[in-house]
Amino acid sequence: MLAIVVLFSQCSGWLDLEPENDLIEDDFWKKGEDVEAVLASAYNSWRNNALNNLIMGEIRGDMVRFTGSAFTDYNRIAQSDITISNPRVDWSGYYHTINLANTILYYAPEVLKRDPTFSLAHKEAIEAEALFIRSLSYFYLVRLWKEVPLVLNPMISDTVNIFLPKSTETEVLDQIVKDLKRAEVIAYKDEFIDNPAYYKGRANTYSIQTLLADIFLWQEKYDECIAYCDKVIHSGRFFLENQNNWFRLFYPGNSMSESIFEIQFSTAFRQVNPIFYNVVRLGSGNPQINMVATENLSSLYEITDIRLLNPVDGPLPQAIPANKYASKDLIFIRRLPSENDANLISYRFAEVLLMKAEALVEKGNMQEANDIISMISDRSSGLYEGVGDIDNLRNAVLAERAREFAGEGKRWFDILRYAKRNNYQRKNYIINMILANAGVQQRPILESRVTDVMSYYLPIPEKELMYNPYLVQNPYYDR
Amino acid sequence: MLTTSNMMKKIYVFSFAMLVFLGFCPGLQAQTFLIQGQVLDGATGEAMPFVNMVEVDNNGRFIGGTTTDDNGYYMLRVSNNRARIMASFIGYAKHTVEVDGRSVINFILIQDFQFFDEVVVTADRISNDGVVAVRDRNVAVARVEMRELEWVSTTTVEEMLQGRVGNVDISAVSGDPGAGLNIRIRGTATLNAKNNPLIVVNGIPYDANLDGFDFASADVERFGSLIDVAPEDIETIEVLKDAASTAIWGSRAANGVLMIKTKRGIRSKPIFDYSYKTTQAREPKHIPMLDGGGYARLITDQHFNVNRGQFQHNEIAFNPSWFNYHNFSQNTNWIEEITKVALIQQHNFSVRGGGDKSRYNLSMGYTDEEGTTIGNDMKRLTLRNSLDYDLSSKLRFNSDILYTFYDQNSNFWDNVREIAYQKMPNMSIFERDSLNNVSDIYFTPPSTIQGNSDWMYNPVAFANLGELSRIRNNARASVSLRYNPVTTLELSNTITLDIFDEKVERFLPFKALGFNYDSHLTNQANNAFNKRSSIYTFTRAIYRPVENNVHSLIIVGQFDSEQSVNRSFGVTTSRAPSPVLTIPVGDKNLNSFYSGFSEFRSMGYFASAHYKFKDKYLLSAGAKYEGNSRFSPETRWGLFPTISLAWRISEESFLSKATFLGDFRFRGSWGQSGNMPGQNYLYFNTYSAGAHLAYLDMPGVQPTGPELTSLRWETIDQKNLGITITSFNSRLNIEADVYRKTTSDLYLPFYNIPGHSGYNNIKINDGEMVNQGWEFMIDFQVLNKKDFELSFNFNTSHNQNIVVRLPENYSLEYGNMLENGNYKISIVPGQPLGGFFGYRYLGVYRTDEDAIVYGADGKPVFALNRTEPMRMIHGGAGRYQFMGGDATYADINHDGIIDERDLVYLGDLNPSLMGGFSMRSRYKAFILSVFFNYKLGQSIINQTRMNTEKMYGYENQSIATNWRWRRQGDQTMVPRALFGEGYNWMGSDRFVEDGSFVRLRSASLSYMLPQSACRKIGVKEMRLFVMGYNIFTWTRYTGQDPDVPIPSNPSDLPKDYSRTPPSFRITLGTNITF
Repeated sequence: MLAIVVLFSQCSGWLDLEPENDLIEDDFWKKGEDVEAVLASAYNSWRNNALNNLIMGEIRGDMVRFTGSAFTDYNRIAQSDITISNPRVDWSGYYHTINLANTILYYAPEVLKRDPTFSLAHKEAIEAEALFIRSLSYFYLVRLWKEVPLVLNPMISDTVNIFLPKSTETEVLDQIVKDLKRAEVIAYKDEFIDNPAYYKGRANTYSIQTLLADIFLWQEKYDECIAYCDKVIHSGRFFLENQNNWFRLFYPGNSMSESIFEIQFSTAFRQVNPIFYNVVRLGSGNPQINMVATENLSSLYEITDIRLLNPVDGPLPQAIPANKYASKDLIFIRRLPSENDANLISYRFAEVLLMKAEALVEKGNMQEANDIISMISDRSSGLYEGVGDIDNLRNAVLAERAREFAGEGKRWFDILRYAKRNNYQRKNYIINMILANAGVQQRPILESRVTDVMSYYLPIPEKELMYNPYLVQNPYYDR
Repeated sequence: MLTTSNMMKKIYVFSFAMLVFLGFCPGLQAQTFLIQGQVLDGATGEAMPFVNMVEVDNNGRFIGGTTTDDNGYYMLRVSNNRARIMASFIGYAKHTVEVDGRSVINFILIQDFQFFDEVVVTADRISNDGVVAVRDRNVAVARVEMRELEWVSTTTVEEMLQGRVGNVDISAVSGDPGAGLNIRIRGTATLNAKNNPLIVVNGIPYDANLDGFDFASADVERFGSLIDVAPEDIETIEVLKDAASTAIWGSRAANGVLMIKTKRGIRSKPIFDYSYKTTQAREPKHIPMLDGGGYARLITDQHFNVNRGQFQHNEIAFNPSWFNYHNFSQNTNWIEEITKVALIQQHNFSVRGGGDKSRYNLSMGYTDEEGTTIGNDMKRLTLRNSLDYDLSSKLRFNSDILYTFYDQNSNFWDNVREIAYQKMPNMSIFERDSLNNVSDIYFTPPSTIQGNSDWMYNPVAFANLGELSRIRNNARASVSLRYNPVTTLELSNTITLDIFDEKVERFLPFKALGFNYDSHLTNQANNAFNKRSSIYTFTRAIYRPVENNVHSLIIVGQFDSEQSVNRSFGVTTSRAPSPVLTIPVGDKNLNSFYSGFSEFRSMGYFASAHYKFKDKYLLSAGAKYEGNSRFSPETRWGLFPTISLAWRISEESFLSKATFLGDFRFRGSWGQSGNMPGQNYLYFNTYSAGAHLAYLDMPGVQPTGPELTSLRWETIDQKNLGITITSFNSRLNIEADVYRKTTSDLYLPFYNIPGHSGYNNIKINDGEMVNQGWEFMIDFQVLNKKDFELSFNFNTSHNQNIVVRLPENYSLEYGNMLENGNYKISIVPGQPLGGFFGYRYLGVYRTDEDAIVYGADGKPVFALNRTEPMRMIHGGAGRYQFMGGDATYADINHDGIIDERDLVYLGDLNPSLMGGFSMRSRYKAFILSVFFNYKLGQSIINQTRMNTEKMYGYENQSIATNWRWRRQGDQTMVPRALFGEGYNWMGSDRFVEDGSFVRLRSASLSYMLPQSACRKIGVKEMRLFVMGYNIFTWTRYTGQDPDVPIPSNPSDLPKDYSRTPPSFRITLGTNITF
């Protein structure tokens, strides 16, 4: 008996067991490959948010309607009938991505010390990608919720403080601008040029610059926006695809000339774009389309515009936004059911140009803005003639963006940016749109309420309020 | 890892060294005397062969022995001329005499009519822990002697125990063969899903649950604890309830212990026992459902009420010109079609016996059980072999070998009965042509108006063609050595090896659903293996330094270790080219694939002392110090002390005249035990890889959760006070206990954290919960005459559960109450687990005009500037306006909106009283016994009724819906049919019922053949019996079975889904000894 007690007190290490199916932190973070592997899962995590981003970018707007029972909760948001328990009001997906990015940024310097084959340049390039993913997540968070907790440390232990208050929009945006400016310097530039999927699917200097331009535009910092657009434009890597290739932007994608950043899918690696599960279902016959255009959108196009062309179903204006995902070419070719790995485009060159045009308008440079709009319009045989009045020009940029990016998840943010400019100068535009989207019964109630600009942002999800006492609800929802 | 294997090696080496060391102790030699004589039967005067003649010492220990020859003569060598000799024979009273210098001693044995008391109880029965005498126990333990239950025909031990022991709740998950049971001792002590007690067989934990099990079945509950021991093999079961009694088992026993002791060999010539039972099981009456025509009218009505239009669909139109007319114009009772009368056959054979040095018991059982749902059956083979060998009077060797084989078949998915209730009754089972000729091909259209056949399938086709077979091989080998170097010290060492092995094969041929080759369900084949092996070691020393009339002291020390390894592997493929290939083949259509490995180790030290003074005052104290691999080194070890006291007041001098009292003692105990999380490796910050994490060709790895530094033992602190009274020569036994069980540092496996951490929840220890209650048991033998005997047993218990404290900002609320079908659960401090909330149902609005708002004063409420009263609306986004025929819910706050502010408390699932009572009487050779069990005061959600009365979709409904509201002015309690609209089946008291019941669980009559008749047919004993099971239930509950299992997850509600209900069973059987 005693012998056994002695025996065991000597080696209580017998109870130290480590999992064999998983890696543990002590054994991980030894090689550069480990950092790359977590980077992959950070991209993967961001990809999991991609469809939600697309829907959120359209759902409260005026161009696209989603039909079918899968969109019930989204459509409540579309009608401004937003409750804090709506399961689509959920930011945990973004923070999942952010946590992975934070984890990479936390451990990469450690790995640099441990792995002699892991070069400083490689480490910094990965850090730049992590910063890009994190900043992009925060940019969506800020545009959807306005004020959110700013988390910059990874949740690696239950000793990490997980009860953070909200940061202001400015604090978050300042942080990500700072991060991206660093990332711009340390990121890879053309290292992956021979691998289009990497070149377009992973962040590099150009995508970081584009994101910065977008943030500056949102912040109404037009000089910086123009400067960053110019960096991309003058890089010499990008120009508009020609008209015949317009549909090819979306399939097969990764256009060497126009694409800047695309979220990658590939059936070769069993990565299917979820948009084909319930938004555009490809089949042997006509695809089943649950994303339809409003009359508002179809009335924006001239009859000559190739973006109105409807290879799927003949001239059916409702299918305009879905065409990007259902057809392959100008000559009425439908995608096969197996061609369900189209990428989702985050940024392409046309948007850099239009961002610049938008900033130019605010700077009073009407001529150049008109030229850019014409360039985009002409590419698709639109009939843009140019306008002189600054307000009309603002609307012209908005309209051209609508035509060009319909169904790409940009519209709601475009309108919000347009309405909030100069201290919500054009608030009525967004109010009218919200009221038009609302149900007949709700309209009278909403009418007085949506003058509150905080109503354009989502409420803090119910469960977050429940689990974190430091969060304060968006006052619009706090009744 | 090196130290690990070395460590195990050291344990083995040590164990074997001990075995060897103990084996070399020689017995003592002494001068001997020879005694001889003859043994005669007291009744007939005949000589008795094969009587056991043994020399016993003053403590009743066997020293040596022999048996009588054919003429009843014996010759026995005894150690001294003051020795005592005992003669014993099965069925006869034992007789012991002192030699007192004689050399010839004749014996006359008297037949013992209490034939069920075949093993005569000597001075003190030792409790199943092997240390303390049953009468000296100062802890809360319930004991069931199996000979009291021999007439009860069951296939499992759990069924047998249900309701027999106070505060032990055992509910069947379903009536299907092989389905598991939920067992709770003294309520739900933890929010962790692991609430089942530890099962201990012959002193070794027996945990037949496999970790990596849950992949194939959506519902793990179905496979609760299974005890692989045939009821016939069991001698006693003890239920250990308080911490003081479970201490030695440490954390495994935090939820109580079921301690099973199996029959072992006895000193006798071979006794053969054979029993056979045949049982017929019949389901109770089903819920009557609509027929084909009624169904079609209901669907039409549902649509009409929504859009005022005609609903036309060929499948319910009964249109003879449609080519499929005959396939959709039947009256199929799907439930009847999947139900059958089941037959169960059980054989059990055992032989036991032994000589002076060795005793053996070999038993073999075979059960062939059909389920009452087609496609369900189970075969079970159990083999058990125990061997006790006395190497010398000081060194004894025991071995146990147990093997169980299961072959269980069930349906591919377990919702066949649910679908059968929903399936359209006008559809044909078999395909019919346009002339109504029935073929033998199942009619399986890929879709009907009810939906696609991948879930709304043809239940008969599905149950017959879909396969799920589960083959289990469980084996245990246990070896132990006991060594008594001196009479006061016993050392023992036990090593046990367990192997649980399971293979699950599932196959769904395309014909079962009627699918083509383009679905992932077509010819889906799934194979899975689960394997667990465990090694337990127990090294124990029991020291009895003082044992006399004044003082008695027992000191126990123990070291135990466990090492368990789980391995699992599973693969699913589909679209095999042929339905003949029922195993996964090819790699083209790989649906899923996984493999798993996990390992667990624990070790513990236990020490205790039991002191008795003058047989009056008893004191025990002990402590367990244990650690295991589930915790980080910082929090790994826990110390759990216990102390218990008893005062035997009946021994006091002032009660010395009250001899009728027998044994009267007060007991008190306090103790702590620890509970550990149910999974391995939780505290690590782990990273997992997988194809689903990849981006392009970059393999992905991500952390699965943060490091959990604060994970620690959940502590259960239990106080117990009790009395035990054994009086009137043990004819009256009373046990009563009150207890309070406090669980602190509650293990919360789903502690929700803010989403900005990157995770939804982590696991922490925080919070406190209390279970308190009482138990009472009385056992009274009214008559005990030679020909007539009558006894009663009654037990009842009450448990109250209170959540005392939960971590800040931790709230458990489930259920969206703006939608149909949900009930709200909230787990809040001060309230019990299991309470739920819903709306109050007031009936149905007679007319549209009735659906208006009434103020608190009972008068209609008018909105500003309106002449009509406000209409009642639903709080959801659509602001649904209630109409005539809609369900009326009480508007508790009179705001005209039915929403969460109108919820009321509807009940809770905890019974206020539960228990059982039984009566046994014997008249000559006839024995009649009846057993009732009951649960009172628990609320049940009759989910089946909700599903069959909601009139919301295409599911078939019960005939109760014929009373539905149809036109303005109808007065009824059943709302109108509304297709996919309205709020007629929100969670309300309409579907909550009182689940109190008293059930005549079993009644049996048995007849013992007289000795003369037995002799004629050449057997020693023969019994015939007939028995009924689940005979009658007194209840107001309208569903099929009020004995709904308590959900294992606190976020689940006590819902009755009418899974296969417990059947009425009638059994004929015989039991032969020869």
